[in-house]
Amino acid sequence: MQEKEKRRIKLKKISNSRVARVLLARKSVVACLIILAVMLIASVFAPFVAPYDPYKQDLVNMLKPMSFEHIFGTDSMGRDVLSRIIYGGRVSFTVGVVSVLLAGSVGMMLGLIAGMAGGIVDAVIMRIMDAMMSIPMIIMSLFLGSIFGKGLGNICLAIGISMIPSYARVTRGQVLTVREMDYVTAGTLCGASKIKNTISHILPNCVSSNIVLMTMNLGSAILNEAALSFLGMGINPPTASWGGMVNDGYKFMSSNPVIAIAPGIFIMVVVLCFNMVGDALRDALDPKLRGTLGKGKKKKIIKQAI
Amino acid sequence: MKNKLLKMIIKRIVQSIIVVFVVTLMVFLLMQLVPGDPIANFLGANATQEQIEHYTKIFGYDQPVLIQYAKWIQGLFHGEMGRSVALQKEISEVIFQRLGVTMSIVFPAFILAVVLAIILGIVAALNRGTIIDSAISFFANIGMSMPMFWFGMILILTFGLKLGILPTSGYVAPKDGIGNWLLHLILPMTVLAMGPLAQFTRQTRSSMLEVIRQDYVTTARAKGLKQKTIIFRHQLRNALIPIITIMGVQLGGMIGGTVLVESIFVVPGLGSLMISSIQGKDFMVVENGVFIIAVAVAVCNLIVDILYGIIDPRIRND
Repeated sequence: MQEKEKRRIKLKKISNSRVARVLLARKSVVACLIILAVMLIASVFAPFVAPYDPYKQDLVNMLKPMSFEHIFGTDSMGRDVLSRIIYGGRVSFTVGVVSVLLAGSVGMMLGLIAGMAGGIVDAVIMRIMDAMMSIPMIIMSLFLGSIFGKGLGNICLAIGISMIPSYARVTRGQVLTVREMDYVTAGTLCGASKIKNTISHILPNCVSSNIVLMTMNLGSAILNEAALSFLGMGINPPTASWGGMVNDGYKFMSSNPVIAIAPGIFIMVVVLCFNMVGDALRDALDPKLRGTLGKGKKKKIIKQAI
Repeated sequence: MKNKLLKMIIKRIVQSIIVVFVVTLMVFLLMQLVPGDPIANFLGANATQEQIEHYTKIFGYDQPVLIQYAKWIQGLFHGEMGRSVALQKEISEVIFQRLGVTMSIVFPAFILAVVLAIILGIVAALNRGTIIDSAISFFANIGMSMPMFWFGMILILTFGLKLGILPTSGYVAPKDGIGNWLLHLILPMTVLAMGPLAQFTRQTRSSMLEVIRQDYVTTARAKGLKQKTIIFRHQLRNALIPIITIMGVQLGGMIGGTVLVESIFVVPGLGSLMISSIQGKDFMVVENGVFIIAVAVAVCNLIVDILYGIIDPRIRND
């Protein structure tokens, strides 16, 4: 038994390091991970990193152009744009992570139930998911946002709910394939209950594709939050959020474009990094490439994977 | 063969009807979650009790929820969506007029995205590993990550404010001059097309690369066919199948994206109607707007599915 457990851990380590190897073989992915880490650390430790108080109004120094004092200038209330961008990262990362975790966990659960139960339960769950998917994500989150109201928690909830169907679909598809596998039948023959089989054999096999989807959806969630805040239906001012900052700066586009352009660049860079890491993760977890990374072949396979 | 295709089409139509029905139920139930009385919400804090009661009766909010739902569905079958308190107009009239404006941006943008993406995708796949491929992939990645409203703003700044060659806001109906309509359409269409263009380009590139390795391409090459014939008849036709799959999703996303585009370029379409109705708490318009968008997306998906069945015989034989 102990031997078996050791072997399992060793196998897991090998597969994990394989994923890490393929991921880290791409220079662009490493660069993206570094950028994301720096931005995340900066927003978590914003009070120590930001050069100014992002909420302190200074009407004497409003709409100042770029300078050494204020790298991205100041906004219409004299607040330092860079400091607000650093604080705004908190909103973007929070919305991204919370809404994706919410969508992922609820979506996976619904997909598992639909796939395992079949029949009427499956039909009801999946028709609701189809209906949710037929409403474009931005409209769905706007609609839900209008019901729940503004604010960070409500926005996470609205964006999270609008992303649930994709996870339910992916998980259900996986469940339908995995439940026909021999090891699941073996589990049943050994006397494992349906719930036990679902949790120990089926669920772990659905996780990897959902993780890829989660990484890719982080970018979409951040874009969605920015769009809602831009439309004035996201985060309540004066809380700094990148979308809201673009909206504020939009009015001064001809005189001082940097106020609106700078937060937009940050949104783009973060989303780009999440998308690239998601792409790489998808390739790294591709079962077609699994077990092919021998020492000699390693470079060649990684090159092909890229 | 034709029978099978017909069967598939009927099956898809029935599925779409079920989806739209579930949408109505979902939207209606969610609307019940809106905090407070919808009439009191709309009339504001200064409304008297009599006014609230009067309007509640007129709009039927005093009736049981099920009856309200049944009345709404019955109205939809007759093309009636009720009357908007804020706009003082029939909702169906406003929505269909706005939908026309929205679709006149969505369809040209969609066509632009598909045509450009197929060209760029083929060029990238044929020049795999070169600087051209890297440039196209980089552009596609940027296009996918760019916030739509921000891109619109940059275009307004460049072409409207700095160069002064394109109108930055407003909408002109085609009947008031095709040239003027097109001129007003260039910027919104470009912004709306950007995301899907990037997605389609990536998809075309990867499916072309997948197809290149297939045996039938090697056979075609061994037969001595011209490169052009191989690309268009053997590769692109097969590579199109996964592209068509994402077309439906992207078209839906584009209809949603008009919310942003219309608010940046001040276009009086369905998207800007949704925003103003949400802000004005005119929830009857919001409810019907979401329903119409869901129907539009369902119809687009249906068309894509049928197209899919025609192009890929395996689907209709399923």
